[in-house]
Amino acid sequence: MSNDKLIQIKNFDFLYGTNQVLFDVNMDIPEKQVVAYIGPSGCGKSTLLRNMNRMNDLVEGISHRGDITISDKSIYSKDTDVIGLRRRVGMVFQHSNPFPKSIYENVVYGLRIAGRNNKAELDEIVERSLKSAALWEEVKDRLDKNALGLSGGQKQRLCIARTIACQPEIILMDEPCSALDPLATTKIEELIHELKKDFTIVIVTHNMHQAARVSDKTAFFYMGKLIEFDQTENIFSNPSNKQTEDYISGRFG
Amino acid sequence: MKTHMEREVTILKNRLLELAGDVNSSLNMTYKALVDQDKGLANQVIKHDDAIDEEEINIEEDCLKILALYQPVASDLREVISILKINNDLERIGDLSVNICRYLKKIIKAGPVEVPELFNEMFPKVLHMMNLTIDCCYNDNIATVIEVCNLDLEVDKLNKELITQLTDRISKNDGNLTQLMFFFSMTRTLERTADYFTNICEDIYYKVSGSIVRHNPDLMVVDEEED
Repeated sequence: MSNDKLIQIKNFDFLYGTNQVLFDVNMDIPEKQVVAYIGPSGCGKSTLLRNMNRMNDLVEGISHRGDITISDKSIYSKDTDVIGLRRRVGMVFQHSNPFPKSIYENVVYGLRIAGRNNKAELDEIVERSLKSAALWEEVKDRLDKNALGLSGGQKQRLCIARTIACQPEIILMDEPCSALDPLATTKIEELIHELKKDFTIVIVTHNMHQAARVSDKTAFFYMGKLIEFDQTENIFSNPSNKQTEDYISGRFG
Repeated sequence: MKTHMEREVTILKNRLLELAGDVNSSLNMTYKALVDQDKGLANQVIKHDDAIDEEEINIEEDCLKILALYQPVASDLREVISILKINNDLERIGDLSVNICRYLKKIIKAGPVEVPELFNEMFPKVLHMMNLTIDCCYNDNIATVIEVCNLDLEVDKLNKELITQLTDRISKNDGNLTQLMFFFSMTRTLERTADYFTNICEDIYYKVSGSIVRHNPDLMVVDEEED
């Protein structure tokens, strides 16, 4: 049975120094579903996303109140292995960022860091990950070629393959298609539909229709507050909050 | 400031209201033609239907254009979808007026006749439903939806009574059989017309509330006015 509360965000406040950017966010994210975060720039959606694998730990002067749990375990508990957390909660960024290495080495990068060097095992993971990222057919004959020679869409799918290779439970995507053309965007969106069979996905997007197309649930943020969180079909056909309605219909401000 | 899409939707809604006005006029003329047994007026209704059909296509094309170009969501989406559906229902009501006029012409052709009295109860109720429906289209007042649905129940009842009367007369050979058969078709068509008004009101209810209450009117929730 799938877990309706794989990730729980509880009374979560977040501050950069004295500047509070998230206010009392509460949200349960179900397993193997796609959740989209939408909202205007500066609303806190990326900040919340980056808290879910503690990427914000790298920023000076941050602090938080409340908690985020994954499978009922706080990601902020003292015994949390942050590197292990980030392996469990992978991330794909706005701009694809493959390393200047071969396609093969990009996919196995995380595994090598974890000390896994068995060639047969890595070969198998590379094929499986590239297939999952819908890239295998396009690159299977040039795995030793420089990843920087791939197209923008291919690079982004390579980054997804690199994330999948570490076998995370959760994939965070921060505007993964904003630098891609419509065709590459469609491929990533189709991929997200496939990936949710195995992974829980949280995606930040500025593209309303992308949120509508790919997600099961949508959360609308405004000025650091979670305004509405509901099934995507409800948000886009009959939102219960006026601010949500104004934002998704382009009447904001 | 209204967005470009909002302006387009407003224009479309106004055109839908104009179409509703046209259909209203056809139905009123149909009743007058029945009361006066006026073949010329019946012909006018039949002729006017081409213009209704043409406008229905134009409105549908504009709805599709808005859906394709602006990809509306939330209340905008519900507005365009309800226009699309109401437009279709209005065109059907226009067709039903034509059918009634065609039956009337056959009845007139068969010789002088007295129109069954129950039509003078049933028809004005349907016309009242039409007026309420147009008001509802105009001001999105969903309290009217309940009123229209209740009137539909009264129309259904009158239709049943008329069918019983006409069946009885046909079995007793009481009157011209052709005329009785066409009155029979006429009452059923009029009852179907009333159903379309409830459909339209249900679409307006969906537009306003986001709930689909078709086939299940018990789901309708209308705020009681404060005393």
